[in-house]
Amino acid sequence: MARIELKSLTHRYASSRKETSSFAIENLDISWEDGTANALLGPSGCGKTTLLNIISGLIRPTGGSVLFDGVEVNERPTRDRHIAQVFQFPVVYDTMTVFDNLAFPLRNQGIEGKTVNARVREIMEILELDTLANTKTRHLNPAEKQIVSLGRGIVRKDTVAVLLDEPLTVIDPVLKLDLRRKLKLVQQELRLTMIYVTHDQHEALTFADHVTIIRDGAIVQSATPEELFLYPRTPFVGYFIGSPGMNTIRCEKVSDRLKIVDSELELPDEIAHKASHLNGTIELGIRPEFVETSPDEKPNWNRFTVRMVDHAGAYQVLTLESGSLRIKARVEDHSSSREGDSLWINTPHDRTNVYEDGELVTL
Amino acid sequence: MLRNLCLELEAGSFVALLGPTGSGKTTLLRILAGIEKPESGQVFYDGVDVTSLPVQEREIAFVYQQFVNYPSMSLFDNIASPLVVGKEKHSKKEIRKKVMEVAELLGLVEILNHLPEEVSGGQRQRCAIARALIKQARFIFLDEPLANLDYKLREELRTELKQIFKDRDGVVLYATPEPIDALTMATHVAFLHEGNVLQYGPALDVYRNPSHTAVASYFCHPQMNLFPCRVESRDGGYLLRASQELAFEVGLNRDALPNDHYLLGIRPHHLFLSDPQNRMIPFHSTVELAEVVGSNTELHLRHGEIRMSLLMQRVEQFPVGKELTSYIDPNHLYVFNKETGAFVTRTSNRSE
Amino acid sequence: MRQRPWLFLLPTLVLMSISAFIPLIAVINYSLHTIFAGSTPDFVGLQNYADVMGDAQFRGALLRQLTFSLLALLVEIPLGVGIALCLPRKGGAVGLSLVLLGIPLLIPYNVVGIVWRLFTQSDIGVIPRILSVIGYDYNVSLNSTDAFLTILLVDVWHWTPLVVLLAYAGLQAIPQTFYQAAEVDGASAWKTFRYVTLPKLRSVLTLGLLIRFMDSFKVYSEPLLLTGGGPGNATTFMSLFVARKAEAYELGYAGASSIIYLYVVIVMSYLLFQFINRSQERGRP
Repeated sequence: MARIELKSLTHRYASSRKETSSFAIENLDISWEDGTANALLGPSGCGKTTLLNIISGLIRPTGGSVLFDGVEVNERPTRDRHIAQVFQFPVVYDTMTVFDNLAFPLRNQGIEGKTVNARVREIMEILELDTLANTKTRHLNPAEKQIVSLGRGIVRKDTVAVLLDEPLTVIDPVLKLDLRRKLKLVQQELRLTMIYVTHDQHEALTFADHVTIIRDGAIVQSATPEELFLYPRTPFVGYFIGSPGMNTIRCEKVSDRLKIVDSELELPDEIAHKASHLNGTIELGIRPEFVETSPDEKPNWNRFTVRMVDHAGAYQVLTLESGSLRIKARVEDHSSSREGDSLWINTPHDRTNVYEDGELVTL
Repeated sequence: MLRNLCLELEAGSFVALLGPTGSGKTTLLRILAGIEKPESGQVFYDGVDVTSLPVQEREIAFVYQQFVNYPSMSLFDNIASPLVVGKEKHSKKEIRKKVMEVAELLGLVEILNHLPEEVSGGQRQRCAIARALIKQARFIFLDEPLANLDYKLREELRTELKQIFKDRDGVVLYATPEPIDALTMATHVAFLHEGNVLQYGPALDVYRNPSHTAVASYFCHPQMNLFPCRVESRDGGYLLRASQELAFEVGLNRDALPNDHYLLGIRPHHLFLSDPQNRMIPFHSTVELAEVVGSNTELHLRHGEIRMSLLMQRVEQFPVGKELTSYIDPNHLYVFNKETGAFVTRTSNRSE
Repeated sequence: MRQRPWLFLLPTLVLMSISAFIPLIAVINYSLHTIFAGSTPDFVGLQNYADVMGDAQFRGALLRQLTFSLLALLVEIPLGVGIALCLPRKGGAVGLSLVLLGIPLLIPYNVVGIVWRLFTQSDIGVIPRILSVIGYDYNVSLNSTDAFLTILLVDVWHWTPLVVLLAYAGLQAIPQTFYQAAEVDGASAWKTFRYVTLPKLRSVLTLGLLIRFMDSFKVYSEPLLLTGGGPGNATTFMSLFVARKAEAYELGYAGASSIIYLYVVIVMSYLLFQFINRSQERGRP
């Protein structure tokens, strides 16, 4: 396994879709440490599959470099990059057994039979495939086939990294959990460098220790799942990660005091103070789970009316309104608030993020 | 596939047909809509037997999973099509007015001139829903309409759909395998299991008072934890024991629990990683996987042979294989009959 | 209206009756009679069938036909796949190559026969001339082997493009990811062919095999025009054999032999199909 870096990576190509005319990845800098679980997260069409193809060598970037352990590999053909890939649709050799599938890469290298057998058995044990060793792969279900694909990728000891391109796409929901568990377990145990590409934040945040969010060919934020959740760098990240997404409240400076746009509500002093020196467009972000609610009036808390009550089993999501401002709050599953009720709201300053011109302000 | 079903749905309700794949919900939906005919039995709309009435004559609306729209027509024409093709004649002005109304409701006004292939999946599905709404049909059927949309879109459309279908006169029937759909949108839930309606009633009622393990475990988001226990006599009383560490009292007389084995159920959000008030039951567990779902973390744990999920209402990561002490809140246990799956009793410290 | 589908089928059923069912019944009718010019047909039951089965000429023609079809398949299928593999997958050259390849398919059978007759004529033909350069005395009208192989060559020239087109479509349908994976796995060109291409071409090849088999069994115009069935019987294949009998007005015999002929084709196609299908389904979950 190796450390993979993209430095000043630029790539331009014309998209065939009608919505975007031409597409660009500009000056991307990403590094993935050796032996880590990573995810590339972004909506469909944002360029993440292109990045995977650049790493594996199928596409030459128009600018910048791809490095494995510090060595530039732009000129290296795919065959010599030793990048294993697991695709959306399982890729296995139908006519061979599981054992032969896993042995295939090693046999092609001319490695001696005994060594091959030992290594294949080792991998089969880790992947919990031993019982299927002599089954022809065409009889396996998609989840099992994906594990075999993964196995083929890691059976060679000189594999640099494993790239996964939405590998759970065709897997039955019932089997997804087990496959997710296996992927994570294998990554942990073998300390593989894995890059998991997906548009589903659930998958990305579950699998990876480190997530890079990509939108329109640029990195929006690159951090651990907890950081993405607590300190989203832009309101978009705050909205995209978490369910429901982060509340975004637009503010403006009125005679040097920070006020909420179109609202009479007062901002808590600490927050107003936090943002007092800022000059651009200001937005506040607070997650529904951090909004504090109370059925009784409390000093310095603001009054809202309950507009919608959504049950989600373990908790409820209330949509609260005050004037033209609407925010969501998460409350306990046995809360008895109903539409039309009044609720007093507090937004703790240590849970409120301040954004200036769309970027998180750290204080 | 479906056996001896009897259902009575009230006007003004939004009924979710909830069940796993293959439970018969799509078949039931299609039979109720008239797309398929039942082998035996009857379907009544407002007291009128419509079983042999073909679907074209039933004045219903149906929304499919695959965002069905006419690909060569603009969204405007798509939405207008039921009015244009239908039996009643409408003036162009009338049609325009109705289309605009519905388009506004679904946020499609700005893209009415586009073709379906030029807009996103979410917008296409909204268009399909608009087409269904414009007929103002008394009965609207939706077959997993959100299944092919991505996570965030599903979240948005769920609350939107709830608002759109509020305060209507007829019945909305919504087939889905997702409990969260039923919880968020439906007024009533019919739970289907292997071709039978196991339980029907107001959504929250069915959720809080499941009559059967199938309902309890499935209609729970994430799924309810179920594990076997045996009755152990102790000091003139008894305990329900699931493992060395897990034993519970459930406040019933021994006579009310005639069997030796039962199934215990506990919802994932009634398992915890800490016990500040010292009133819960601790047990050793190993992490199998920490799944981040929305703003929560679903911790899949293993306690000996028992597999459980613990729902944490925050985002946190755990390595696979980590050992932890977890806690069960004994005030939220369900007890089910092990053979039949029927509900027996539950513990609670306040009415829910 | 449940009867509506049948109404739509009616025109086709009518046409098929005229061109297929009615003639078939007529032939069966012939096969049960002895017919002499002028006189009324005599019902002879299955006598004609017995005569046919006992006729060494018939058995000879059948054997010849089977050999021909088998050889045709053995050459055309691998050759077709081989050519398809060499064709470009993308770009302007694709359209051009496919069109050029398709040309033999468009030429009517009789024209093929006549043109190749000109190629192979001892005195004026191109082929005898070229072969004489390498010292081979080629004579299609006198040498049985030459005649048989020539007809085979014509069939290969005429029909391999069909196999190429089918195989090409099949190849295009194989997702690139499989080749990518094979490359990453370090597989040689042969191994890639054996473990990726061939398995994935299976269904298309089955189709090609069946179509070519059934078609080659009907070969008629080319031998008729090129060799007239000769020298002797060397290129008298089944169609030709039956047609000859019919021309000689031995309609009863001809009828019986064509029914047997039909039966052989159906049975062999069925067996072939089952064989291929079963090997594909072996042990499916």
